[in-house]
Amino acid sequence: MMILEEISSLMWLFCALIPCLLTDGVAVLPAPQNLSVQSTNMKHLLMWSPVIVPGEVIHYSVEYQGEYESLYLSHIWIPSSWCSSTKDPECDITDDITATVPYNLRVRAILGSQTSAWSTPKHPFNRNSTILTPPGMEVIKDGFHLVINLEDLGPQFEFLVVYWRREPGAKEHVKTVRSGGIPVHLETMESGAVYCVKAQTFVKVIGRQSAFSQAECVKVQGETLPLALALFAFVGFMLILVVVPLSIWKTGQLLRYSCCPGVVLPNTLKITNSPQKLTSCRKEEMEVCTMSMLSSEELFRSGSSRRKEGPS
Amino acid sequence: MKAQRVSLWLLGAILLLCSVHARGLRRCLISMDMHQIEETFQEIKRAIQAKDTFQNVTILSTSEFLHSIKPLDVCCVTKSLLEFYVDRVFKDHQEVNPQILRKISSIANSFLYMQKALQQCQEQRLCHCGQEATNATRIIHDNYNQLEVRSAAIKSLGELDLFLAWIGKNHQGTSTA
Repeated sequence: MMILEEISSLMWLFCALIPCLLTDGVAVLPAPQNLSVQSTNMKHLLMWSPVIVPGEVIHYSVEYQGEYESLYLSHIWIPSSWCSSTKDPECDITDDITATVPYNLRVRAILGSQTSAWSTPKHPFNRNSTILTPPGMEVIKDGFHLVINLEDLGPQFEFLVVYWRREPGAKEHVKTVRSGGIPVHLETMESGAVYCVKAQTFVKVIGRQSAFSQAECVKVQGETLPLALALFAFVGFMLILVVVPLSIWKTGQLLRYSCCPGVVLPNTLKITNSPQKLTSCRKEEMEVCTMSMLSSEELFRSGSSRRKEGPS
Repeated sequence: MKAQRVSLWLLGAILLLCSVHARGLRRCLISMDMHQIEETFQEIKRAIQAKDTFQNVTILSTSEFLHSIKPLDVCCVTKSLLEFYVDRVFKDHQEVNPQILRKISSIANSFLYMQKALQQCQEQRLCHCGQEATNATRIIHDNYNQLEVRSAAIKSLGELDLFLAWIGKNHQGTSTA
């Protein structure tokens, strides 16, 4: 009995060692574990835990089959577009999942001529399970124009934009935007009002939409400020209209006085050519003085007329 | 007078029912992105049609044949032709080129999705198969059977653009469900 037990345990040990013997003492390449698909906004990423072999670089191979292949051609597996041989423990399978049906996926590790067994996720992946997030949105106030720019999520995404005036009883407006990345004009705003916008995505091929984004509100400046500015500008303009000519005229006068003064000596201060006649006038010679004064007047008049004629 | 009124009411009711019925057909396949499938086929069209050696024969018949299908028969003919491709054509064609295989797989899986969508329409009794629709389907199967299976499959694949254009024309989605 004891001998039989010993023989059977030896046999088990031998059988366990056969794979090692066949592979020349090298361990079997383990298959990748913990496969999962993370899908957000129709971008699908297959991920797994990396296979670690000290000192070696492991490559991975990914294959898929759609529901059609699994039903009608179960032996057909298609190599992934981007991951027939990849070093990273993840694969972007977006270009492979092209129909809204369940897809089977499988991954194996490759080291030289060695390949591991195929590993599959727990459940098939259908792209209608993708997580749809509210779209990024930029609200632009271009003068009185309400303009938005939605993030570009690809050709499969449409957007539903809802906007309204923030006042009691205001109606919500709805606009469908076919693609993101391009500014879209929503409305011409009235001054003094507050306008709010929110948006959601809609993916036609899976018939689902995201939640709405947080509402963003913008306010248009009121009319009072521009009026005050206009009044101020008008008053300033009028002031300029008055002040500028006045200052020009004053400056002109200043210049004239400084360089070419038109000062005329009064008659009483004019000195004639015979100053002694004036000084020697006494009482007895009053008649002579008056005569000489008259003649000096005549002299002055003739002199001034000569001056007026100027140099001929 | 009364008889006239009654007949007018009846006529109105019939017209209303017909319009509802016609609208119901158009509600099928609203979530299909035909443009995407057509684009996928365009990428392999030349390679597929180059392999077709029987240029003088057609399986989907002429394009006039498809366009002569009446609106009431559209749903039934669509369903039948989808079955034709899914059950026969894609299986009979064995593609070795991985690039072409990828595109055919995409189209085949999209057809499977369309079949499921049409199934819902059928359950709502919007997809009745009349005599003309049944005859049209039979003609196509007969054409296919006349050729050797591989040649027939490659020819039918090459005629996918006709079928896709016809579906797009008849099942335009104008509103979301």
